[in-house]
Amino acid sequence: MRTRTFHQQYSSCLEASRLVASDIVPFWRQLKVDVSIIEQMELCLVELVNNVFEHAYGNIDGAAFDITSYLGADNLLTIEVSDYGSPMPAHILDDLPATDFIEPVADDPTTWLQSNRGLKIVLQLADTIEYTSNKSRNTFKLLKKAG
Amino acid sequence: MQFEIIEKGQYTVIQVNEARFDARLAPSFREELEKIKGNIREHLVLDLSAVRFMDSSGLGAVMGAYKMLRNTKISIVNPQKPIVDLLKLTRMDKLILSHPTIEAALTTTA
Repeated sequence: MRTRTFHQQYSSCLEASRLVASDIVPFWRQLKVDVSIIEQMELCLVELVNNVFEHAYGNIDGAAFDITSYLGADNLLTIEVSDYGSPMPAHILDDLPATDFIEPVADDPTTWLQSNRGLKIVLQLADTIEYTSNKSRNTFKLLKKAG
Repeated sequence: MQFEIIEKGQYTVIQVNEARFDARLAPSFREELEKIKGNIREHLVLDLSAVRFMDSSGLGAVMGAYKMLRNTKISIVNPQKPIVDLLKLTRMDKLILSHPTIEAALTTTA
């Protein structure tokens, strides 16, 4: 059983993640998704939208990307972020599970600023993540038990 | 005003007057910090009371402050739950301590 689907196309820019969040959080509230899950998935979504702007589109304004979300079987919240830009290099996703957050040490500056922090956050908070790239369309799909 | 700067005794407070500390706000925070870095006192207190959402860009800006001000104590005061959760998740709570009030921050680190 699947709820109605949120589907919206947006235009890439630095503010896009705010716009997406302001549209989709009320939708998740209507679906009665648990508040703590909404907070976590809002963060994941923002990280992925920023990733699209910065990496798929190289900080270029005005490129299209799509957001889809619905609540599916087993109360699983599905979120898809699709872009039409540069695909993510395979090694980044392959390496992510092995690169947990490093505990920062006060006298070791190399531990303070960590790469791919946004994707690590997504990996930690979502139950399942999938990334597919075909026909110039790249899609990040997240699944999360909605309470 | 996005940021309010308060200087008192041995500490400087940067009050972030925005609900979202994200990729949109982080560059302004860095610029503000760059402007005042020469005048920041012994202890920098980041008042995040108004911030209800922070992403990795906001966190990166805070860590950038930590890196820029190496001999300055930095504390966060009154963070809302999503910010506390983010600091814990990324383990940055080990480096920058959070306190319920400015007074508590100053007492703890004095």
